[in-house]
Amino acid sequence: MTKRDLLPGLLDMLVLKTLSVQTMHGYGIAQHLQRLSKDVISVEEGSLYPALHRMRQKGWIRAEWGHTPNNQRARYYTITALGRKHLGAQEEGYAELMAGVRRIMKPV
Amino acid sequence: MRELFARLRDWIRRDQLDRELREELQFHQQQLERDMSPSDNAHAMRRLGNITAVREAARERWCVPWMDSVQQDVRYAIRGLRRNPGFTTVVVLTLALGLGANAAVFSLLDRLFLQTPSGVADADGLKRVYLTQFYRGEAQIADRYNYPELVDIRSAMPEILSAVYETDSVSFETSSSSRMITATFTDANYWKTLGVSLARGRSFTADEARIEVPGTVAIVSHRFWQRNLNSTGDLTGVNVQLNGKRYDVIGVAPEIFEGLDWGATDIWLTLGAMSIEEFGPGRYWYTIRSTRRLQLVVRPPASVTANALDMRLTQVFRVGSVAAGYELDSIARIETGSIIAARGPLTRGTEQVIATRLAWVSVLVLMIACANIANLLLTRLTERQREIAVRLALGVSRTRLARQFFVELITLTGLSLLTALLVGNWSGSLLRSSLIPGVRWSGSAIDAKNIAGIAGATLLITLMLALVPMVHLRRFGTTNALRNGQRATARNGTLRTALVIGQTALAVVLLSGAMLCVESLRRVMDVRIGYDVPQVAFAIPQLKSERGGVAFQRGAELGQALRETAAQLARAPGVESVALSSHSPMGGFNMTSTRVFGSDSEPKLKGGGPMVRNVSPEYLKTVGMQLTAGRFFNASDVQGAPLVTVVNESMARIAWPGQSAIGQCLTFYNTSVCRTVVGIVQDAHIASVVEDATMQAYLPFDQASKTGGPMRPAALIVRAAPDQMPMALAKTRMLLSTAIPNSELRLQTLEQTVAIGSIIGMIGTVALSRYASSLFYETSIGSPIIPLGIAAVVMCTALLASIIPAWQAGRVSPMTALRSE
Repeated sequence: MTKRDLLPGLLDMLVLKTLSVQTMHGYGIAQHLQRLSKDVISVEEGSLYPALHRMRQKGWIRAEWGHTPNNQRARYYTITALGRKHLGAQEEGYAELMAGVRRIMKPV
Repeated sequence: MRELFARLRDWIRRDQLDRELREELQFHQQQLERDMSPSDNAHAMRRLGNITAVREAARERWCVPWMDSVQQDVRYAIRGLRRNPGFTTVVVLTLALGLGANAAVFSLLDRLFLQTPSGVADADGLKRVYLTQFYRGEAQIADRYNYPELVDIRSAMPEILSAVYETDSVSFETSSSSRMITATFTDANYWKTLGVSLARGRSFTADEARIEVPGTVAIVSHRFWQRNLNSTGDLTGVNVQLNGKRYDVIGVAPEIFEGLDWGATDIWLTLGAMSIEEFGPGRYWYTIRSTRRLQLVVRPPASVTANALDMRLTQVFRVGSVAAGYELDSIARIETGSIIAARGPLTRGTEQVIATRLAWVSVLVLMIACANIANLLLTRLTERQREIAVRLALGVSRTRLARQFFVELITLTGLSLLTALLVGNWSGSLLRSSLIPGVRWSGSAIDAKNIAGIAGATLLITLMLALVPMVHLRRFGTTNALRNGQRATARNGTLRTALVIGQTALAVVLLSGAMLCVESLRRVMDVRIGYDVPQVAFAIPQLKSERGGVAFQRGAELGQALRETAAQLARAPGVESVALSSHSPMGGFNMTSTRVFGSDSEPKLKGGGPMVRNVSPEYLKTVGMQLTAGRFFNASDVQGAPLVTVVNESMARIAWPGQSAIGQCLTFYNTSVCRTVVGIVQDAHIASVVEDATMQAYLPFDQASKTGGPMRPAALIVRAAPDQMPMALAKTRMLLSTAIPNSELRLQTLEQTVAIGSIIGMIGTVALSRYASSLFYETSIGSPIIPLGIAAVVMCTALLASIIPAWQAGRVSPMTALRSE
């Protein structure tokens, strides 16, 4: 498969959406994205963790150490109220963008 | 904004974040391996290599690059400084010394010139009043008034709040001891005008504070209340005894208020309590205009401008003077000035002189310190030529290097600043207590204002000194440096020579000032007062008339009582001898027209005179004056006998130069009656510890009046061994209060008088400036010992400075030296 670069804003939105449903650790987020998008979107660690940290600095998500069902130590991320607000804004923006693109690409 | 803080916080925690990320990534990898099929293992292996890349990418989120490099620079600087402890110590100490001195002096200046009296409401609205008069073409400024003038001013401007006061010392007596404290005599408006509310009790009522009413009430300061009186109980029944009289304490001042002047007040009394004299029927000190003792402060309403007030006051003053029948000097004027006395137009007081001189000194010291450090920095840079060259060759930019040096410099000056603050605090307290003890200080020597000032100075110095490495780097030739190692360039040499010369010049200025100081201090120490100070005390009783003033007409009774008491006292145990005098030994003199018989001119001496005193024959023995020729008075010098007088050495020298004064004639009181000089005594001080030589003449009581008849004594002088002194004093007080009931007694030892005087005298001479030779006690800049002394010091310093390098150079073998080239 060819590697395409995800727009950074897009990745943030996808992660936030994932976390708005459920608290997860980093690996879980990556798996979730891959599965739901049917392998279209595959995030490497090199993009995911810096993005997660950036979102933490902006206050959109929160990180806590916890334990997996297998009793392994892992870091779990939760969305914050600020993150939800940002997610809502991003969703709207993205919908608008897609609508606009679709209009342009409509078969003549 | 939030993100900025988050980044900063993360930069601080970055090691921890690094660890956490590593753990997180490991977990991620483990999960991947677990979920991966074996065929993908190769994929997994490759991804392992990504961890570092991932970490690097993530780390960018919590890195602040310039802060990292600053931290690097600081670490490098500290390492470098620790490797050269000698250099570091010298620089830090030198700068700390300069800064600390400035910190200490700045706090002095702040107190004198910037701080308003504490505890006063709205101090800027309170003004002092200065009177300028022109006398023989010279402007004379006074800040004291006589009572009638004040009455005029107040009745003409009743709407302006004003306060009248005077400060003096009084004797505070308890059952076991007595000591002098500071008392301020005020009117009823004082507290209201100043806006000070008492912590306890009440202030003076208008009736109590009327000037004709003798004082009966007092308000004490908080400090006095705590130290000497029952500090917790209430005020009923609390009283103090001052100058032999009891005063009821009716109030306690708040802790922060200690008076308007520099010395702190211990107790406030009414104006009526001042030692007062009656100068004839109905003529009291507060009805006559000849003496000016009272200070005036006003609080004009905001609507009155300063100019308008000044003009009104001047007008009132002139009208009042004319009405009183005085010759009005047409250019007399009144102006109001700041409540901070140091800012007023009066010629500078001692404390101001000292503070300003010290400020110059400390600035000079700081400049020397800076020049010194600049020199040291240059030296260091020269030593590090090779290091600099290597770093430049490795690709470090010059900017980066310059920043590195700057960080080193800041570290050094930062350390100096900390040290300076510590030193400044200690030396500030030292300065206060040793040089300006008359002022009451509150708070520590270093406060926020001070710290800000010194930190600012440090920053300025750092920026200035930073020019040194900047300039050096600019001209740096890398290849030359690499090749030649540590050989200094010629340009550096010029700058360094200039710095050394500059430092030496400044140091010479300081040294000369210091030497002048030491000289004059020595002379002050050597001053012989002329009396046996530890063994002499005096008592001055003052009779009160029925109306509360001191009765001058009843002087004859007083004189008789004193004589009888003196006779009794002389027989008391412990008392060596007793004498009578018109004044206490350092308490003044009479001035009367004195002429050398047969000549028209009056002998002139800078200190003035002749000062005349009337004394009993035992005076010489009692005060311990030395007789250098002839004899002192004895029992045969009575009314009717040949008129005699005794003069001091200064007078003998001036009035009859080249001859013996014994047998010469003096006339007094503008008569032409000859009084023969029968003795010459050594010079003695008549008013203060530091004073110019004066001409003095003594007359025996029995012959002292204008017609050659008796005059009355006013003071009783007692001589006792120092350990017997308390007993002698107690006996004196007892005898006097019995012999002269209804009198106020002022009893003091010479030691107390001299102690206060010495400090003030020494203060006046410990001052530093090349233009202040008038302030130096009998020392002039021309005295040869000073340049010689300075030359000696400079040479010794140069010698010491060259010993170590010379010795080291001598130890190096020629072969080593040649080879290292």
